[in-house]
Amino acid sequence: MPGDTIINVPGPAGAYPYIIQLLAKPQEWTEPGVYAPAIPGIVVALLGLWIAHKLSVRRDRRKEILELCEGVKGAVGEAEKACTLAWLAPAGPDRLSAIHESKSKLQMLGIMATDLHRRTTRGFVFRVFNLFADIVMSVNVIGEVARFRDMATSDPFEDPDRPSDDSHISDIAAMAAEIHARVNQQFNSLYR
Amino acid sequence: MREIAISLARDFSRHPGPRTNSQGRNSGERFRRLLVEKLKNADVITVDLDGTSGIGSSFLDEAFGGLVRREGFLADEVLRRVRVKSELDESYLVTIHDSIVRAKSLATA
Repeated sequence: MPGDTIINVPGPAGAYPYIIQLLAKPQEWTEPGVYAPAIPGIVVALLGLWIAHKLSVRRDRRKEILELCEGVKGAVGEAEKACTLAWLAPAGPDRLSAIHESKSKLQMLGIMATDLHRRTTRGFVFRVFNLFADIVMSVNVIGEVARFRDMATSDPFEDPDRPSDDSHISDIAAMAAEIHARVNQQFNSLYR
Repeated sequence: MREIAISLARDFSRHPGPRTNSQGRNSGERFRRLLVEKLKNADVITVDLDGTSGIGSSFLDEAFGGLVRREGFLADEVLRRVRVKSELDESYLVTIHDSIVRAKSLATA
């Protein structure tokens, strides 16, 4: 057999061949060589699991942010409706109640917009990119919400003596639509 | 440098009202007077806007923009000495900043 060592030992009748066979050492289960052929397959499987995990996390985050965006758009609609009612309400306790409701809805909108901005703000790497290119850094409609509040509650909104007024309704609706559009546009830029 | 902190909800009202005293209670005009009193005793005031039921833009304009328009403060001085914070709704900060800048433009016009 290949690998055998033959030693010829001289004897009285000539040389006597002694064959020394070196048997392969039986492999122990603790030896790495036993598992080496499986390593590439394991690496590929782990890489695949990691990629699937990352894609799943990204999908879940996109869904979470989409829900926040839909929440902000819902809050815009509620604030628009409340402010419209307050502008149209006749003088009296109903108007006071409607004004109070408007400010409360606008604050809720501001809180949700602030939360959305903070939870979608991109990290350090994108901040560096932003130095060289104009990229969307977060879903940020805080400025638009401030303008919406200014437009919806500007004088004479809280003047108890003012008449019912519908002159601001279309501007309020237009501003609400602008916030909707901006949320959609920024979300699509971040998560297309 | 003496700094004091005040809370709009705790030290003034949880329900900020309209612009002027003649329009209703807890007005921006009344809050502005409170700010002026505090500014006499402190170099910097930090105003916390959280905890209210909602603040109208005319209240904020009268309270903060009014410091420039009516009380004679310089806009830069107001921006330096009156710090506004809101952990919950950052849009208030934008409104207040715009009010002060608008008041500055009117003052210099």
